[in-house]
Amino acid sequence: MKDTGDKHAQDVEALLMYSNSIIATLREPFLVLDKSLRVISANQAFYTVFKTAEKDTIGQMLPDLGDKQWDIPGLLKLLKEIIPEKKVVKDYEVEHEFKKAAERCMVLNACLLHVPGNLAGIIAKKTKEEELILLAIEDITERKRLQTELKESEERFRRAFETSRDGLLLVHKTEGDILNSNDSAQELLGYSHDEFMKMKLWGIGMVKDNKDFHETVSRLERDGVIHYDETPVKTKRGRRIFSEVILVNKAKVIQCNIRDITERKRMEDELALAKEQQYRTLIENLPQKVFLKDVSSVYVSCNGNYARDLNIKPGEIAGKTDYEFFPTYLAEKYRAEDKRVMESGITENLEEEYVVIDDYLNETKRGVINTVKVPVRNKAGEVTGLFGLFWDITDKKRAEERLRESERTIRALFDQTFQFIGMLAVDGTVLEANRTAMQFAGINESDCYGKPFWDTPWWNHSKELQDKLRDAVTKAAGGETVFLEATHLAADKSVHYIDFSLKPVKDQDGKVVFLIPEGRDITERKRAEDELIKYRDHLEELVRDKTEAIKESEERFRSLFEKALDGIILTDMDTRKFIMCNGMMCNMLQRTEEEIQCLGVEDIHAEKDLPYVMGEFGKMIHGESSHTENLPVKRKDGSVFYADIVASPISISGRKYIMGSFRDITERKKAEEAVAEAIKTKSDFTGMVSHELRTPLAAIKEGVSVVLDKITGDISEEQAKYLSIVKNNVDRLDRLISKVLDFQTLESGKMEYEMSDNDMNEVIRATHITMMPLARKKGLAFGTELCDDLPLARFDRDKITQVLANLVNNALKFTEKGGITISTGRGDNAIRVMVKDTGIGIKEENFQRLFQEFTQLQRKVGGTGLGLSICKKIVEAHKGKIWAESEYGKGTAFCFILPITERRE
Amino acid sequence: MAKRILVVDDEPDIMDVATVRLKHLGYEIIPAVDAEEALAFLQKDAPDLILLDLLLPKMQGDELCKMLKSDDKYKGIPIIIFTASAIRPSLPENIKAMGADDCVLKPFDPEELLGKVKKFIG
Repeated sequence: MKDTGDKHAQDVEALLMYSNSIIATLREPFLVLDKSLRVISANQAFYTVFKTAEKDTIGQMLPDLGDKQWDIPGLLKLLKEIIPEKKVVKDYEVEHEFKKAAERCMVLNACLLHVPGNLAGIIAKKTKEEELILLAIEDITERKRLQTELKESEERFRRAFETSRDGLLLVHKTEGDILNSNDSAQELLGYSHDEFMKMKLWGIGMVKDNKDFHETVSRLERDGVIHYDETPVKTKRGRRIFSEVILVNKAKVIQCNIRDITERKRMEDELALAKEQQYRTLIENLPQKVFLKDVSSVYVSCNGNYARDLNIKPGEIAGKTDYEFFPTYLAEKYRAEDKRVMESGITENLEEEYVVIDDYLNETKRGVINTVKVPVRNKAGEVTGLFGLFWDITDKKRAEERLRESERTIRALFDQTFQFIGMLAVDGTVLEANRTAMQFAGINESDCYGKPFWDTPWWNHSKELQDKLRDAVTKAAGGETVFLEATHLAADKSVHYIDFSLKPVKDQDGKVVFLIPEGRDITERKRAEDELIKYRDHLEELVRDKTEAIKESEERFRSLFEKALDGIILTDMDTRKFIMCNGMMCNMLQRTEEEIQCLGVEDIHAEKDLPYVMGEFGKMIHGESSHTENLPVKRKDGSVFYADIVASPISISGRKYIMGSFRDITERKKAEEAVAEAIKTKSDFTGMVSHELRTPLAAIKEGVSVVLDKITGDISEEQAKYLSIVKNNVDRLDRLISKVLDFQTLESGKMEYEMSDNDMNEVIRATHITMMPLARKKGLAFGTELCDDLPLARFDRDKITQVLANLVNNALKFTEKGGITISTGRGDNAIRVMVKDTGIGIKEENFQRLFQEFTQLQRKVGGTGLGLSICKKIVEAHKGKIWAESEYGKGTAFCFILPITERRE
Repeated sequence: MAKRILVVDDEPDIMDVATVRLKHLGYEIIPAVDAEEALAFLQKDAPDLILLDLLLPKMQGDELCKMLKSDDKYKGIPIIIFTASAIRPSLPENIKAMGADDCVLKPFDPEELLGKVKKFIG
């Protein structure tokens, strides 16, 4: 039995070792307790987890372990009450705060093990107890914490998801199915949660379709987030709402945040409206004129200020164009500018004319304006109109104009002063010179501007003067005023003495900035001085002259003065008062010398002649003398005589006077007027007489003709003979009257000429043929000698034919034998025509009278005495000349020349 | 029917001698001593031609000529100025200015007068 017993004991021992080693390797703390809860054994995990050692554990009572930190009510209740009854307890959870191991959460598994008596001693060493408690302690503190945290996170997300004001959708990343939705999403889009679950994302319009969704997803994979600022989203009812949408890439889903921005948009719009109203108020109150036009330059609106200008209410401008307010040329200009600004898109700033007209084209406003035109664009950047703003700059322009005017005035003063004046740079370069100075030397700007002063034509005639001037410029540049006397050459090369000065002009700091040269022509003064010196030299000599001689001379002069047939008067040059006069002058003016001495120039001339008289005085002040013909002069009784006046300045004892000499030409004038009157009367008379003669002549002539032509019945041969005599003489009378009439017309200058280029030879040939019968009748030779290359001359063919006929007629009259020749010849600028006869000739003493009217050298041949006068007048009207050459008893040649036609290209 | 010529002249002698040839050639002559008479006739009847003196009492010939030539009713009637005037109305400009068609100067060449009359009315 003992062997068997030993063998059994050995087996138990082995088994025990086996179970102990299992326990020792368990990761969970493990305890074996007896019924009184005394620790029988513990594994290594227990010591590690609860930070204790074997000596403080084995044999100790469980509640006393580690300073009674195992006195855990839940544990003691399990071990003392639950185990004895239930034997096994699984997953009993206990939480406890251990002093050393901190807050722990444990899951306990325990069982009551009944050990047979023979084994108890082996298992539990020397103990006889039959029941043991096995206690496994699982530490779940860490797991528990993780679980709690996870729960909290989930809860937070869930609450955020559900309570978010944004609509939230979770979408399957590959399929696009909507997996979840929150209340806001449901409220926003009108779908229920269940309806959402059956939809794809593109059902609400954020993406177009499956393909678009996948593209969006790949973008999302890359960027993590996609933000749509304003995208329309479709509600269940089909309404589109503007939303801000954010897609967020999550591990397996896409979170889609939808935020309704309709409200925000409304707010923004309201804000914009408020802003616009602010702008409107601003524009309305601008002092400038403001308008808005559309792309076709039609007005859309304008501010009140502009409307007032146009005389309309601001609202009335819409739909109108510039043509309704401005003259056409301006409207066209404005519109062309509008077009340019809108096409180029470039803002322009323009200065332009401004003329407002009303319906009746009356100007209501005129000025100069400055306009700014700005193209107006829509959001897409296209030009949709034009914004314009302008203001009146008329006053500014006027001020500028006035400034220019005053500049011109100063310039004119500068230019027109009698003095020479200019402006030099400090180094002597000419910057300016006035007209007087330039005219003096006959030069212009380019001869002097920009050149050193001493190298200009004023100075370069003398090396010495140039050196003096250079020195003067240096001194003046140093701040000194320099005076020098210089000689300059005038344009006509005459030498003038010039009093010259050079003054520095300084700026505020006293620095010389430029130099002013000035010159005064003292030539006259110099000459006077020279004469004075000469006079002084001879003074003694003069004084020595015999008083007697002076007296004699004076008497001679006085007698001349007094007895002169002309009126002589001495006038003070400055006051124009009379100083003395001779007796003839007193006679002319019908006043005594004393009376005359109280008068002046203004008292003896008519008001209308005074400006002329003053002008002559002006000339005389400058040393010229004056000649005036036919000037009316007033007598004491107010009647007028006409005088030719010669006056010249004289100087007596340093005072200047005008010596005037008057010749009364009233009688001569009367005679001249009478002659003119007589000529006119004669002219009128001849005209009248000629006409009055012609009318009865016409009746006589036609009366005789009618009878002669047997219209009134047959007449005898003898009757016909005498009626023919009547008719021939009537014809002759008619010719004479025509001549008188022609002459009268010629003399009065009323004759009109029809000028054309003519061949004189041809005109002579025609006259030759016409006159030939007359020559034959008288038995005279009649020939022509015509120059071959006679140039054309410009004359009135009929009038020159008349001249030729007159001359040939004259020749025929005074020639009894021999003949008449017409010849032509050419000079440099004229053609010559000669009518030569072998007649009685003209005595030399008669040559002068030849061409005078009504001159007849031989009464017996008959005629008016006008023929040659008419010829002379006609030739002279052609700018030609006529004359006669004759040897008494041998014949006469009448010649005339006419200018040839100028050659034209 | 005979062509009719209105002759306006205040000189009875001229009127007689000037018209005798025309009458002889078969023209009918309507004499008028001044513009008033001429107009009185023109009011009721239209001649084929007018022979018009310039120096007339009261209204002058050139004035009458201008008046007739600016009136649609009369401007088709040819007017020959018939004058001894020293103003030389033979000059084409003068004739043109008063609107007349031609001119015969007194004392006149009968052939010239007849030629011009024939030119207008045959």
